[in-house]
Amino acid sequence: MSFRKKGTLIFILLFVVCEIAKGQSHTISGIVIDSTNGETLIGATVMDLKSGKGTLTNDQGRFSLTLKGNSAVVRVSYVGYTSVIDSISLKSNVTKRYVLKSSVQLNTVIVRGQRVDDARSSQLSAVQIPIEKIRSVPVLFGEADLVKALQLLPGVQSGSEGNSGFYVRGGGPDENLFLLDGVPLYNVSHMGGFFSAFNTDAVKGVTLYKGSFPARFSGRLSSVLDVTTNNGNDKELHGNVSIGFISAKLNLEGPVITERTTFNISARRTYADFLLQPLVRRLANRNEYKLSAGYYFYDLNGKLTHRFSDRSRLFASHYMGSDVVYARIRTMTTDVQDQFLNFNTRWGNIVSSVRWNYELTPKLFMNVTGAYTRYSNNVGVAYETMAYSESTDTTTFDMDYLSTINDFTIRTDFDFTPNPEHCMKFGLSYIHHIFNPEVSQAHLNSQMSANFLIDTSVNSGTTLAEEFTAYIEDDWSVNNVVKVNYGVNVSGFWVDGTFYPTLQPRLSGRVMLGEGLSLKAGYAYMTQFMHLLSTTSVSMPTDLWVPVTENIAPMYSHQMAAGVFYEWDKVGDFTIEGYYKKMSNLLEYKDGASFWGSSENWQEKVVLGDGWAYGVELLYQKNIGNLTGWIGYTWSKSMRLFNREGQELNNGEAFPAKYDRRHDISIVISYRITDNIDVSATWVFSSGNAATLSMQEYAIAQETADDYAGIDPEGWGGYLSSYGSRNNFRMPNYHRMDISMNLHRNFKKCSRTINISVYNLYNRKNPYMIYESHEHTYGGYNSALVQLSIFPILPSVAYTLKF
Amino acid sequence: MKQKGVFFIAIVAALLLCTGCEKVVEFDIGETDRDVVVNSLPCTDSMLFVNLTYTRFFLDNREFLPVTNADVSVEVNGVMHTFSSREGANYLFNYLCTEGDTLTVHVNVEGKNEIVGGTRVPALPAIDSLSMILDTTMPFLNSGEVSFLLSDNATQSNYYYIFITERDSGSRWNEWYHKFDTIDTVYNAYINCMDLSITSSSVNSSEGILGYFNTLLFTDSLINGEEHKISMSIIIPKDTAEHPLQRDYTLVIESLSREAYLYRRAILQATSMSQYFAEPAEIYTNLGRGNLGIFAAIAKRVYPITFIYKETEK
Repeated sequence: MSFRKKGTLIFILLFVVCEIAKGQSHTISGIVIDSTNGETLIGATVMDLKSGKGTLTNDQGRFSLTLKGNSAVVRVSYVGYTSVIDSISLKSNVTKRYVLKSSVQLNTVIVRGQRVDDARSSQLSAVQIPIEKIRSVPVLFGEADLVKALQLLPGVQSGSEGNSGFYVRGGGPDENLFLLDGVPLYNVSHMGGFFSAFNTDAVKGVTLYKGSFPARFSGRLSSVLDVTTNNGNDKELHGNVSIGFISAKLNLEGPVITERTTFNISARRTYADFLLQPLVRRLANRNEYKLSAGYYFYDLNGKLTHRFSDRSRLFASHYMGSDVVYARIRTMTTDVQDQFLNFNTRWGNIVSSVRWNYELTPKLFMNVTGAYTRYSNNVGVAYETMAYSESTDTTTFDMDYLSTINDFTIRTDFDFTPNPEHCMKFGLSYIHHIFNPEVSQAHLNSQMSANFLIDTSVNSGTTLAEEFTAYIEDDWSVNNVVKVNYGVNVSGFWVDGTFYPTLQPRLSGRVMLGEGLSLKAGYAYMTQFMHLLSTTSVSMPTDLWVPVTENIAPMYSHQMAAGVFYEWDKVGDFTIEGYYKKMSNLLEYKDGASFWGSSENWQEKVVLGDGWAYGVELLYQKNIGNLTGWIGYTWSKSMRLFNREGQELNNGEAFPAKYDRRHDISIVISYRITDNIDVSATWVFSSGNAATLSMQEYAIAQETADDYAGIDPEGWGGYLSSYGSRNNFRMPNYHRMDISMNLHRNFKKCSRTINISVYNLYNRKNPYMIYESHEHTYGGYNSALVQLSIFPILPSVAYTLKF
Repeated sequence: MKQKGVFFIAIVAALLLCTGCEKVVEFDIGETDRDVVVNSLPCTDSMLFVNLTYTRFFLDNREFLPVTNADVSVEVNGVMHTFSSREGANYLFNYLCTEGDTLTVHVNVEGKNEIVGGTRVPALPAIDSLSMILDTTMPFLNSGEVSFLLSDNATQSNYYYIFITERDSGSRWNEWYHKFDTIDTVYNAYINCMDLSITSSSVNSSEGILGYFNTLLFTDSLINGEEHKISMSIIIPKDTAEHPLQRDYTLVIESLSREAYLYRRAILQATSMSQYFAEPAEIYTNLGRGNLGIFAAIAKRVYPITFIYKETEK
């Protein structure tokens, strides 16, 4: 789109803003909260039954409804809560505080609220899953996992077995914006990707946008995962403790000052390193050799909320999570010397933010956020010889590999609701990025050779970057049939003296075709100023987040989507959506290049190219009743083309993306048998992943005829592999069934839940990776294609105590 | 008792965690058609020949079958030469390459498309002041160093490949073999090549230096037009009964055509450690898209090196 056209679009937007500001009427504004814990309810419907006008509560649980006339009858409803009906006299602006009671608690009929993904919303390509649903999905080791639950949705693919990698509509794992209370999180994986960094105990709501992104979101091409955390109970102290197969968790929430200040703390840590320590000692330790090794991850979420008034709230939240791998080997080789080898790898995030939420006027809310984000990974190896004699040397050698990103963010967002037809959002943000993508340090000190000292630091240099964003969007109910969400996001990235400005128009709309039936379509232009350099499908500490540079241009995408949505009460919601996405300036390592074995600047190792993806997604959801769940199916194709001069991959020809999979099916079912027992089951099927395997082998060129005679054509170095093209091989199909059962029991002051789950119920040996094996035998070589599967049938038990 | 319980749980947990299930996959696409592989590195010190073999299916363990019915010719500076004889997979020519020759190979095999590739014989490397130093004062090890001056021609792009082989009873050591097999079995010597002046070492740089497998492979971008000292150190264990007091080596200094450089670089990349973390890729060829092999000229200088050292106390 030319700048002239973009300028016209901005002009039209401003014109619309002016027009809608002309309305004269009275405004009902306020907040909707949960009666049990004082938590704000996001996405609750506030509707005037007289006029039929309505609105939704925003991310802070606030609403603003401007109406004409002298009175209104407002109904406030939310999924799982009993609705409230309130008659209001409209002589002036009114502020309200609606407290909804859980309908499950009262054993009454569940009332449907409006979600971002329902038929009446202008938003498409978005999904909201209640956190209770996520907790009930059976998963690996019984560890409830937000990202893995989302992987069961159409259009979202996992990487390899058990991995919490996220591939949305043909995009890469780095093209997803993970927001924790509005602040970006870089590394969302634990344990190489087997678990995500989101502790479900701390999470309040989750919305995933796969396309048709509203203008307030920017910075990634393929998806936005918006996670909000619990504020904490404002009435009394509550908590839960749980012990699972792999981790232990603690969650505490309560008031510091009743109904004023609340806190919420959630902590999780794996304990396999404690359990396996005796085994490691027994198996590895000998007189001359001692080993201490382990792995653990932890995360900690903390949030403090203070309510100055119903118009003003302050939130301070902190998240920190890390993975740690350690090994210490002591070798007593001689009487005079001991050798120590220490290996320590640590990677993770820290996110701290302070947010002030203030109602400037009944129609205008403001949210100011200051945040600090740090992502770091550190691989350290230290070797030490301890001399017990003068004739031996005491030497220390240590090597460190460090990569960090530090972000300082200041952001202001406004919600402006001039009348029920318009709901506007606009805001500004500024992020100061400090990138240290690769720092390698080595120190060598020898006691006997004092002059033999190495102290070196090699790095790609610190890169400072400034990111600016301004946006405006309007959700406009044109009439009862047509609703449009239109907006523009203006972003800029300043790095190394180069400025990349972008203007990203967004548009989506729906047309009601009948009761509960709508047609939606949308377009989004997205830009991304950061890349993740990764060579494996497993989330590794060696993955590098790097910024765009003078030579590496920003990635951008155009995505178009359209779909039909149908809500059939009691039966469920049906959605069918198609999409086409074109991506440019995608980054890949050069042929044969990786993070390993080179002191070269990362920019020298990568090439830029393009990609496209298209597909169809079907989703049936049932959220009401004892039997709930969803069935999803995706047909998709994702391709890559790297054919720019000097940057060719695959001979400049198109090839399937690494996680190009034609079919994905997921079935998720939960059934509440009694108040004390519920069961869940999932079944997933997906076409095999693409992999690059050699189809043929051939001889290596030799300089003389005699050289050919001495070669072992089957041995190492005796042949070359011909791969034909990238991702030329398809692994076997993947399918798996998991089941779980929750046994609840209530006591006087607490309740307990025992979760029994089985991962991979029918013990399917799914492919994790496939490799060629050439085993040397006395008779020659045995060659075979070997499939490695990592998770057989895995039963697990978790115990949770709530008080 | 409690300790046993913890130990039992730990074992069960470890078994469950570590139950890596491997199984052999039935490969059901069947064998693909075998392709013709053209390999030829015309060199200034040996008669020209072209090696023609068929590819083999990747699960096949048999030797590469020779192509016996090919029509092979090489155009040298515009003059066509046909092969004079064939020995197995090698099509021999009565021609010795010289610096500056322009060569084009034409291979025709029935049922296959014609394969054509071209190269130019580079100038011989300009070497001066070759010297050797042997230090026998270190305990357990003898340390040798070979150094020479390499004069780079500034008027053209140059590509160099330098390595040392051990000579054994006059027979030429297989290049691949001797470079990897450095421990005990054949000769107990580590050969470390390092250019003391050039610190950048990278497998991925298009212009940098490769230092893997006791070889130096590099372009002249860092020493363009200069006379540069190259040093290579050799560490040899002190003499044992299995190892003689005299060590005979051959220093090979090659000037490569661009095609030969890209081919060697691709092979080193494909077999380096970094490959385990990288997406595998096709090895470079100058024979046209979809064909396999190489036709690339080399100009070579060979220097015998002998280290004689005194027997030392063991």
